[in-house]
Amino acid sequence: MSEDLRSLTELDRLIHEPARLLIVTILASVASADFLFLQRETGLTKGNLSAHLSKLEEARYVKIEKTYKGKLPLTVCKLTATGQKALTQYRQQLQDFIEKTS
Amino acid sequence: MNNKLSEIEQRVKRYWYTDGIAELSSGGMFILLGVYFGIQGYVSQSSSVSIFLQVGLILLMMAGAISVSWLVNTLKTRLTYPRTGFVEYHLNEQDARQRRYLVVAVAMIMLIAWTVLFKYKYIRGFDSIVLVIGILAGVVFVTLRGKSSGVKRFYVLGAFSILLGIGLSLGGLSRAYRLALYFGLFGFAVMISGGLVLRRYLSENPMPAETENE
Repeated sequence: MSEDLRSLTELDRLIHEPARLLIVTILASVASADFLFLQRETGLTKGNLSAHLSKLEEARYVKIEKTYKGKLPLTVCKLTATGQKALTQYRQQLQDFIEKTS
Repeated sequence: MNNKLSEIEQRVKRYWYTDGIAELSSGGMFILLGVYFGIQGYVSQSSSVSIFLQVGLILLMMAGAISVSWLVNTLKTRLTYPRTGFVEYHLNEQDARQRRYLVVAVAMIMLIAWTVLFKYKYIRGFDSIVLVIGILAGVVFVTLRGKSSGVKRFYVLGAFSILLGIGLSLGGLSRAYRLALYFGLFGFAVMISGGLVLRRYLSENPMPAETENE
């Protein structure tokens, strides 16, 4: 049991944070999404979302691009292959932990 | 927790249908097809106009697909993305698998439909084409759109298509008029559904004062 519990400490803390977990989960289900969509879906403030996205970008989990759709300026976010791998691993670790402890 | 994450993923997928624009555009295409078959039913089969119309169907389908795609993109860029944000979807392995299942299901339904056709070919006034189209469109709406996105109204539209196909296959009209009625009525229903959704979406999501994204 203690070893099972110890496996929790191996979780990726960058993704484990609820707001960031929500962001990467949303980005994992689409090819890309813009800042406004992420803000509405997560319910975070602009400042908060920016801060979390910056951390994810620093870790190379997310790629952020400023672009245009017609005349509409967009800040488009994409989950990178590294980010996708980290999320998959995180979900697997969590699933394993639940199975072992339940 | 994984269930919660799956719910989030499905909610994101549903976002494509949140404004009803895709339905409004595809409903318009169905109505155009209805008008096409209506004209074909009106024009004599032997006339040169009829031959021209038959060739025109392919062009209409191609132009329609391009127009619907352009219209959806334009309307979403003007109405949806500035209000609730932009999302680009990708085809993942699960979606590809669902599409493969759908192709198998459609093939089986067609096989059953044609078997039924042979059995009931002596029923006066029975037309299998409208029935097959009604069932196919119904299956696409229920399986591809309703089941994969979790949008309940697509089940209603799917059921309506199947019922319409059954009803019109038993009528006493010519094939062209049956098809005209099917596409016209189904397109109208799809457009009403899309229009109501768009009206609610626009009232619930006013245009933000600043259009700058961040």
